[in-house]
Amino acid sequence: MNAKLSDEQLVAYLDDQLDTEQRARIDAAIAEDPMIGLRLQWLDRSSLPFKEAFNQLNRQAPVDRLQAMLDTLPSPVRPPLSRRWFLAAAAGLLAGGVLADRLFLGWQESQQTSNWRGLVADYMALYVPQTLDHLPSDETTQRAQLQTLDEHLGLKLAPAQLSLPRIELKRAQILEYDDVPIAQITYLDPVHGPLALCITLSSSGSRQVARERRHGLNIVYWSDMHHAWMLIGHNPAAELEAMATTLRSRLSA
Amino acid sequence: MWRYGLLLSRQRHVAEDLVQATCVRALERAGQYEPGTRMDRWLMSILHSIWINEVRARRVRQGQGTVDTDTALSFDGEHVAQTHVLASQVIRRVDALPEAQRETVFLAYVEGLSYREVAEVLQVPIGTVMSRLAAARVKLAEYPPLQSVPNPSSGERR
Repeated sequence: MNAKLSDEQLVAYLDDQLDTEQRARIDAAIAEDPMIGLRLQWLDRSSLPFKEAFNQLNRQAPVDRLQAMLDTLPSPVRPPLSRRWFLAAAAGLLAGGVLADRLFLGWQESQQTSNWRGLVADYMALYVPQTLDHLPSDETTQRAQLQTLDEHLGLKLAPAQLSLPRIELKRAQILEYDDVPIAQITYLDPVHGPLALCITLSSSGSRQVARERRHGLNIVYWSDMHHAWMLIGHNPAAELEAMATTLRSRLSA
Repeated sequence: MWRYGLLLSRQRHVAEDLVQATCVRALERAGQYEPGTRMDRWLMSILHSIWINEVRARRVRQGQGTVDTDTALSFDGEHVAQTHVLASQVIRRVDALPEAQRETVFLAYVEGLSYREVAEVLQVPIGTVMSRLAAARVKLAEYPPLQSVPNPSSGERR
């Protein structure tokens, strides 16, 4: 009856997940059949220092960013103050479903240049000024961040090219969905909130600056030979276009 | 939680988003939390369901099972130097397992959950937990013993 012990039972034995009776049964089977003992030894080769290994991984956790994220969450202890935040966050999640849908599936289906702006707009619609709190904004950090963008998108970006009057550059990061990189350079406008310059690879040729509106956000976009660019934010369209013109001339210089 | 998110998604920014969504969802459902039970288990089950239902379900590529080695759960260049060689071998081997086995191994052997607890977090029968762990262990047993000094011929990057 015990002649055929399954790997499941042997693994449960190794994991000490059996009751006394089951254990005794396996002990007896091992005593009776050396092959079972060998199989058990073989399976035990997979007993690796899992905990220790993954504890090493914890050191890579973006603790600062996660902590910053936690700070922005509503505190249940102070409901009157946090209620609005809480509702905003819940709304963000609903949008997040749409976002994930478009980003993860839609991106692969269609890489038409008009579509990527929709994806970015979905993403940027979730940003509030607090999203950009607690980010290091020293030049060394930003240079390193920009270098990552350069590597992914074949660009040569310098902080000076990207600076905008009265608006602070907060972060440059690479987003990647299904192997298509999108650079996102985020700014915080003290009046209109977060805005972003986003870049992706495009071979559809050079195009002049054009405007559009998505999710209540203004967008100006253009492209050159190798990249499609867009500037997106709550700023009035004309203001955004002026910024785009400045950026464009500096970036093509 | 971040670690669990990274294990599932294999992408750092997705892992962060998962943690955030989990926190928000947990606050939303704070009333459903049963005092006296382990909060971390509860959070992991929320993270798992967000991953399954809202993120992974929409990721075509993940479904095809192809993973770019550069985006796989591993130590990227800047972290490699700081990380113990043994740890990176273990993580690579776990990462090479199919998703269901990978997260079952993680919950049972890294987080130290009992079979029953793993089954509750993943919302699967305990028999499924057992068969996933057995299948994972069979695969893991096939590797050569861990090497404290990296061997260039083993094919495992540092």
